[in-house]
Amino acid sequence: MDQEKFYYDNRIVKYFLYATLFWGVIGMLVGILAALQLVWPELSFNTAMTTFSRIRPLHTNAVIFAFVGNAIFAGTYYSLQRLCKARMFSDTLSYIHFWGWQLIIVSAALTFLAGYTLSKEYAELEWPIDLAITIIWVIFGWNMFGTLLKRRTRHIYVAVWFYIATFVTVAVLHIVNSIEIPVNFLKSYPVFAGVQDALVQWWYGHNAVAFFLTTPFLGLMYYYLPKAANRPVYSYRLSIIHFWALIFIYIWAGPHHLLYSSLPDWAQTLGTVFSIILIAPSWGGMLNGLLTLRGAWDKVREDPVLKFFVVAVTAYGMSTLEGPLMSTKTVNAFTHFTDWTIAHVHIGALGWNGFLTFGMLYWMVPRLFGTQLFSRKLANTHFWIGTLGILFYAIPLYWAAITQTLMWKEFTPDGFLKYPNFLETVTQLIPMYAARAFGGLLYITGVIIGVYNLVKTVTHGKFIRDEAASAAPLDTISGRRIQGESRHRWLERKPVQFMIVSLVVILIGGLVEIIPTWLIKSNVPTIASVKPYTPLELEGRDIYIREGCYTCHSQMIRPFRSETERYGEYSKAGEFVYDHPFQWGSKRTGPDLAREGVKSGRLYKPDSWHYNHMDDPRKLNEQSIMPRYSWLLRNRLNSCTTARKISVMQKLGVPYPEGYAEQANDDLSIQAQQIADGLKSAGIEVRSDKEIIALIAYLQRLGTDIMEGR
Amino acid sequence: MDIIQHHLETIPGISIYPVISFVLFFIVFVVMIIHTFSIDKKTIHEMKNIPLEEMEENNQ
Repeated sequence: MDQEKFYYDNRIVKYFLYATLFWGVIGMLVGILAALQLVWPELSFNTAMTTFSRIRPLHTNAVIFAFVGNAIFAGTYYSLQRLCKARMFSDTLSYIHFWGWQLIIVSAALTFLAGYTLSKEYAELEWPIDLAITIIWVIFGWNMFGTLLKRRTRHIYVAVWFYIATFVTVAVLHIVNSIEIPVNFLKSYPVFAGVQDALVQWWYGHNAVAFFLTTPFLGLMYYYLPKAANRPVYSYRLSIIHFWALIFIYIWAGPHHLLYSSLPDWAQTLGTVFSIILIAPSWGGMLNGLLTLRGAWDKVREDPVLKFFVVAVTAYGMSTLEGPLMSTKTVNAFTHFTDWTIAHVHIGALGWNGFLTFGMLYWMVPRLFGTQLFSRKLANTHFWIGTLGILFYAIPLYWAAITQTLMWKEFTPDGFLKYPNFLETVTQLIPMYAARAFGGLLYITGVIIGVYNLVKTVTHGKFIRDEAASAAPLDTISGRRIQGESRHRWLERKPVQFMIVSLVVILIGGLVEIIPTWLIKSNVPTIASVKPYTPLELEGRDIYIREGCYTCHSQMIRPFRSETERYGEYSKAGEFVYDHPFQWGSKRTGPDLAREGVKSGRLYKPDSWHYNHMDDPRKLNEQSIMPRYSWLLRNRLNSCTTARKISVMQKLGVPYPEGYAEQANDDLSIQAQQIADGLKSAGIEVRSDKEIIALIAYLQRLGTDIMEGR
Repeated sequence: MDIIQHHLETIPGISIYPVISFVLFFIVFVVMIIHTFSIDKKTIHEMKNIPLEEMEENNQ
């Protein structure tokens, strides 16, 4: 048959590849800064934009969506064209995708630093950027399916299945978790509240890990590992089973992020059961990757690309064993809210995502530039420094987690907490935090060596912008199943139908979990004494969100004696019904704040304490590592949108009396004046229109509702 | 069997949901296994070699 000549678009791959390196270095540098801030809190520089609680979301988002995101696109655009034997469907769509994605990253960075956040982890972006992500994501999908439809190969290779599942699932997750009502251009409230919001958020959060950090990378593994090893994947049968099992099971496991929380028990159990089952398909993928190298291990000794791949796939295996173990209640009681989680995600991020990306880049760049890698020796150096970096990063954090959780749970023979002062348990961790920062520094040193090596490779080669290729066109066959063709074989050549089946598979898990929590009222028992926030408290809560307090403070007391002794009565689902968004948090670098305002509680502090503490925590606790928030004492509270906020809350079902929006600002002023008067009697002169007043109002409200009902 | 039953029953909150979920998953899993093992060797060989083919053709 006549061969058709065509050209692969390498320029779009090059663009995404450069963006991967650029954002990788930026995202990791920001991570180093965050790590150092936990050792030396002065490095927050007492400026809102450079404070840990704004830097940390910037780091996580930059690494996930900028570094890993661009790596996914670079790897996908290169492999998809070759697996389809076709140029991308539309160059215009490719470049809109590229520039759109970079614009989203820049606007994300700017808005995070300026304090615009929804406070939902890895989904912090405000609504206009959420919309932009949706549009750009659809453009990516359109381009991908366009390419698939004009392909010159009959069968769609398994790597592409993972790309399809990634596209469709990320779209569903992003849209559902981003349903929010705008207050103004850069402020909105999610429609879900409390328990529902938490469930939707962690259904999203868990599956962002699954479908942004795992499935696309498995697709990349199935393409680049066989290429680099020059041998086919170990078992194609295993890859088929592994694919369907993985996408089916992953979607159910989200609630394991909420064990022992106020989430209904059945949902927690579901999360645990599916997390355990998840070991099977995850390890199916890992084994398939590693076994591809059977009989080729001598090559691993020689080839830095394969070295990176081996450690990446091993890290994937370790993470996906550790994850399910952390999802059992017994282990979770021990690891949750500690640095164990941080270590766990970094095995995945630095090992699986980072190393697979660099292996892929070392393989791809010489081919795009028609040359050899500049220095194999430097690539090997990168590999070893990076591997050491991962170990130096993770081990101290595991150690920190064990130390802290044991200290939190230790009782004296008389039955009192041995370390009742939370700060004692933090001070112990500082050397481990310093070691972790050193690990991070090692890792980024490796990355910088890698960037140098790749830049040198680029300058020594000549870029092949449009790579010539030829293939016979596909003959037209029936869109229906042909004789003797099984359903799945048919599906393997029908990309759109394949996407629809994948969508159905992932929707089953999501719907079974989320719909009952919406519909069944008994899942969230109502508590009569729980009332909506006052306008001032609502403004204070928005400041709490803006400053990212949730990055270090949880608001979820689990039903353990060690927690109720320390913080007070455990948290009930009904307490959060007006929390748009929920603020349960996922890490306790500082103490839990769920009962902060309870006067008879162990944690209660007067208004004057909060005032001084926000100004400079080290004035009150010399060893505190909390950043200063002194601008709250100076900034005037912007109450222009208070009325609008109340109206939006009413739309969301928060029972403020009709017409309350008009009255809200008056009530706000009265409550603010009361707090300012109280502070005055404690010797602190402050105007009632400062932000600190609103924040104090919110903190003093926390956890008090159910106490008043008694 | 008693010991398995005991452990299943004592999982807190175990109800019909996990059971349905597990059954669903199990069916999908079994169907997929049957399907994949029914594919003939030649087809499997062709499919798994797709990424390597273009390498030969384009002499990369």
